[in-house]
Amino acid sequence: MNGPSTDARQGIHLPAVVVASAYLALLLITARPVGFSRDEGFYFKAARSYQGWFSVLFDEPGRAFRRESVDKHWRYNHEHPALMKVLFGFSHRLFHQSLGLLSPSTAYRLPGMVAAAMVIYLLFVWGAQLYGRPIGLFAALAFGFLPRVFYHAHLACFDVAITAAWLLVCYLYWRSLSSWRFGLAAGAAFGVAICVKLNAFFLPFLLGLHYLVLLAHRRRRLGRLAFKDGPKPWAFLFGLLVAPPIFLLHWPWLWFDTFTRLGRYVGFHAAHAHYNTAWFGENIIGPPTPLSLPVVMTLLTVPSVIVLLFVAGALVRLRHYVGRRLDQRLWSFWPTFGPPSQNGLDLLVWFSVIFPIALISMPHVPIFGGTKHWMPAYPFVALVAGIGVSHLIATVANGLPRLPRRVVQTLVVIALLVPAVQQSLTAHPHGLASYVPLAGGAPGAASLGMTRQFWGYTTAGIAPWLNENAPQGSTVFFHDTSAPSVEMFRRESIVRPDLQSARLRRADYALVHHELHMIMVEAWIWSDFRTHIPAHVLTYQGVPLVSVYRRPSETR
Amino acid sequence: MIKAAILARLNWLWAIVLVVGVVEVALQWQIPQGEPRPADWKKAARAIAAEKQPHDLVVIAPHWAGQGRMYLGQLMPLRDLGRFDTAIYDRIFEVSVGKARSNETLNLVAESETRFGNITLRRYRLPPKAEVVYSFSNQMNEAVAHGFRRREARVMIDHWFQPRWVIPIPLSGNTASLSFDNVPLDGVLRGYGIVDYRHGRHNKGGPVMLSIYVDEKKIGTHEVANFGPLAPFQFELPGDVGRVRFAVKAPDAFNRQFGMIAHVLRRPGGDR
Repeated sequence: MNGPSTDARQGIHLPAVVVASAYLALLLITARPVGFSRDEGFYFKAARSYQGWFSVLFDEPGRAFRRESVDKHWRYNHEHPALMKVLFGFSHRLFHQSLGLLSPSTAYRLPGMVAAAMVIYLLFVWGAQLYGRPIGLFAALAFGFLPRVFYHAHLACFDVAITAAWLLVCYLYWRSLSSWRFGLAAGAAFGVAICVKLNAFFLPFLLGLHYLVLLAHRRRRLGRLAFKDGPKPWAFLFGLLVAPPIFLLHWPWLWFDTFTRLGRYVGFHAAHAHYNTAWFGENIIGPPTPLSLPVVMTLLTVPSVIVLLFVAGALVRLRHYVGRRLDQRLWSFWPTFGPPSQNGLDLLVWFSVIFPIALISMPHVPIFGGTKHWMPAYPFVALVAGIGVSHLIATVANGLPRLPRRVVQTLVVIALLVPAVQQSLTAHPHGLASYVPLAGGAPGAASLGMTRQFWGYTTAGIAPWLNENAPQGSTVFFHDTSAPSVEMFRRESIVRPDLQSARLRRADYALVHHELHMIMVEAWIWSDFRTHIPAHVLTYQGVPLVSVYRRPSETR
Repeated sequence: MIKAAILARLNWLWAIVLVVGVVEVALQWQIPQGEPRPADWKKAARAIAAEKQPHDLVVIAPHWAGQGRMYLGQLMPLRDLGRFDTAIYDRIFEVSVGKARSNETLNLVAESETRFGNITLRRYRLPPKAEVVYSFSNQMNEAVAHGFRRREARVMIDHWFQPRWVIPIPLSGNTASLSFDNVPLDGVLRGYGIVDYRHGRHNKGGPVMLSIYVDEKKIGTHEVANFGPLAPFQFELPGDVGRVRFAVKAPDAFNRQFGMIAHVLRRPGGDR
């Protein structure tokens, strides 16, 4: 048998939809305080530009396909595929401009939030199909309430969307090993994934490696491949056939000078700039990336209970492979859980946990300090953690036989989700400043010299002070907040529209987003404003995120 | 042989997960409770203001708690904030959040300790300080610059992300020099040189060579390398009064900023 039984499938989709919808509603409710990140500003602008092309398409279809129209509207931000930005634009057009249901920024952000809800849905369904509903529910919510994920899930960016696409492709690939229909779906999903973000181009390596290991294992076990009854490579075949046309069709920028532009797209990322990353008091700006960076950052930012459950879940599954070779009595306190792996599912999950982290750990991969860059590993981390929960439920149920099992399940799942939910909600909207309490939280991380934030999104946190204190028409140096993001802050009156963005020398107020590699900006402000006394400081758990300086009148 | 009953009890090892969960929740609640309130900072500032003398230093621990400057900024001028060492101070007032300590007080014993909410104010006495006979950064109006435009001392960030109060000297490949006349030469000349972090972080070019002349006679050189250790230069002076010239050269380091600070000290306090 491959895939879940009919029994297991029953009654899964409706609760999965309910949980995913509730998560989406929570994201919508909590979106307003999340400031506009640097990249979001660029994507807002790109979404507007691309919608311009669709307007031409709807009005004068003939003109839209001319090179000058394509170049004009699709040139901006052509270093990333267009899919998400197109969706941001259509969402804005529909939910803000036409229906007036959402604010402009929330309308732009909605597709990213829906992608997050998709991960919740998929994890619930897959986890429930494999190990039962409590595990599916735990895996889904554990992922959704990882504090960094909860932050990114609000944004009009690609990171959560590629996580959703990555998970979907892995799921469909696994199902495709014995079904050509799922193979077709996997191929199409892979096509969509490469339209979301570059990461997806690494999926064939992950899945190809998995498939080869499956074949090798089969050959060792049976002495031959027995291809007819074995795992089928449908996903690869359909991926080759379906994905390239989807990619080319979705992105008008590639319709002219296709190979040159494709080359530039790949070249941009092959020679990607190194981002500054604070790492134990040092600023890393070039290769090699510390090998331990993704693992250490994961340990510092993923709630410790989930890490512990992940280790427990991994050991529980590992027993299927290791335990049977050892004295059974030694393992009696550590039973296994779930059926034996089908079509190399455990291996796929393991590869999916390790691969994104290993990829970013490679010494010459450009530095990407944010945990978002290995976020596609996290749904699988949550899934394995769910297996750990299953055993804890069994242990508690055995110890408390009078309690109905359903009550035990509910209590254990809720209890184990509390730390993640608490950390996500208390860190909100400063998710990038969140560090696990066992590491001392944000103060502990600041003392360790770790990254406090990036993208300049925390401007939202000082906006109320600025609005209340800055005289009419004041000029503000917004530091790391990109111009399009500042524009959105003003458009939505989060920052008073009369406050003008200005260079430091001309500013009445200056912001400094506290990031190690930009520490000199504060020194520039001290020199230019002739004061080192901030007028206001935004803190999270007592750690400064943004300082605001007011220019003394004598230095005007 | 391990008894089955013992193994069965090991099942309760799983309770560790729940315990970690409880600890995590408690800590997440407790961490913000340690955040100082504005009133705590204000009380500490008032207490220091009542006691502070001209050669006292105010420090905040941990170093990242910059919000403290909103309340203590008047008591910690920029040149104190940009200090290289504590050689010219009598006492340190350490305003610490929770149990944090400043590196500069780690080897000192507090004379007094007072708590203001989540803030602890400690006072330390330093070994006898060096007497500043002449501070070059205070005499920039009198200085003559060659090869660059003279600018007042200001804060520059070094490779260790520390603010440093320095005389800025841009590097262009040619020698830049800065001369001071009528400098009292009774004592030692002591100072530091740094390369601005922003310009030096790619670690290209360098090192920067600083040569010091008294009445056009070289008394010493000091090399400042990118990401090299921070070390002071110190040279004996011949006595009397004379002209001191600092010459800065970095043949292969363009578009970078060098910063230096120097004093004539009568009784150097060493690297404390």
